[in-house]
Amino acid sequence: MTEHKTDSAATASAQVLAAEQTPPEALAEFYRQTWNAKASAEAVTRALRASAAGNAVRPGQAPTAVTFVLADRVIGYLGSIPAWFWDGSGEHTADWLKGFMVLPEHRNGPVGHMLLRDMTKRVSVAGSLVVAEPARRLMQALGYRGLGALSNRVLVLRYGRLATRISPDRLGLPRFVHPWFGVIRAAQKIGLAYIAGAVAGAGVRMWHAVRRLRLRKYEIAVGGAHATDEEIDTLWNRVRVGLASASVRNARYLRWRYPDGPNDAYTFIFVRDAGQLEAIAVIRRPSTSWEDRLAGVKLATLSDIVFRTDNVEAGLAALAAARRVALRFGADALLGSASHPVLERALKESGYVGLGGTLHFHLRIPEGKHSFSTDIRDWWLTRGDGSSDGGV
Amino acid sequence: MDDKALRLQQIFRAVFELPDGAEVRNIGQGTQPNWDSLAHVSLIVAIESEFGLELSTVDSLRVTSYESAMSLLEEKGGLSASTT
Repeated sequence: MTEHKTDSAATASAQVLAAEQTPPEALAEFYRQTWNAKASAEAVTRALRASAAGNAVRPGQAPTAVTFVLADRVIGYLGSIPAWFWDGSGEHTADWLKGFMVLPEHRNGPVGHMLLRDMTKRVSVAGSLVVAEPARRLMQALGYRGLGALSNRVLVLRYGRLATRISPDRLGLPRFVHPWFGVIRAAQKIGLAYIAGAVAGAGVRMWHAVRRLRLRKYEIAVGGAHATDEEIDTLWNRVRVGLASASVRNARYLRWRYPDGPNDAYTFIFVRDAGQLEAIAVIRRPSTSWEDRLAGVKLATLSDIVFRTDNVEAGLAALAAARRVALRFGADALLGSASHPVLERALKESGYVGLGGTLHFHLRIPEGKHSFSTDIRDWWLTRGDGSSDGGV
Repeated sequence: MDDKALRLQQIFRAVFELPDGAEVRNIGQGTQPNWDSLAHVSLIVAIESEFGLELSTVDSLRVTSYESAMSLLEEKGGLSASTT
């Protein structure tokens, strides 16, 4: 296929462009059709400038993003989030590929392939968490190695409200959870839903209260201002020595990736033991779930969590605090994902039940001096913003 | 049926992993479940190679079905017999 040229037989031209070279109005129109109905050309220009200024990894550079432009119209987009990846001995600049989207009428054609191929030429080490099978096939064809899926786990916070919206079968919850739903459903039929929900919830709350007693030595602080960058970096440096591979969680990255202002989506939770920072959790405030199995549920996301693999208790304390914060935000459930067995165990111990894996981790490792693991269980990966890419 | 159509049908069967003799003339992006972006690229590369053509991105976007691929072939010419 010959790219980047105007077809002599057609009036249209097709090309892949860097986002900053794409006409802002065309980009804004694409955003309006996909993610944000209110996007304007001015807002797009402002956002590109802001992302360059705030780029923690390559200051001053806009994160790499490419568009597919057909006859002055953007019909596909692929973006990235600059990051560093830890390989057990050093931190390397990398990119998370993110926001892979092609307009529905142009899916299953050459657009997705050309966007990914162009992006691959622009990045070095790159990772991606991908749900859709066509995007996974494309990634593998273009040299990204599929390392497997993160396990998704959900912590039910409000059994009553959840039971009115979905069935446990649809959710894929294990059999032992089903009786709770059965009792609540039956009670709803005879007008006692509130009482049934309260009874179910009380049992679960008691279990969490007992667990909290065990973790009472930890001090919890909620809000990004409650830890210094130095404290966060010190914790990350202690965490990383126990990991073979990970996306780096230093202060610069975490604060940029998860803005924690009054109008922002994220909230930081800091866990200290005798004054020393031992764990961090980041919660994304609830929104109505995009995932089919959880459609209609008000779902908060455990976007990130950091603790030493030899200090699971601190992780459990962070998860207990995350539960309370999510409840305070009015969430019905809290969704987390994990690749590392230590984090998976902590989620399990905290009452999260398995939903199976939908987020597939793909990694591109070009030639060079790095030694990233190709076993997903060696990677410390979490869910990030919890949103999924669109069709390609 | 002319040789060009038969060869194009063979390409569609090979790309979409259909058995010999399977009807492909009604295949389109919306009806063929395994027609995704990667399959599309394989299809275009196979057409280019079989018919000695160089298709532009715009040409590639026009291939959304067997019928549209056939129209494109008629328009572009291409080799009338396999060179392999």
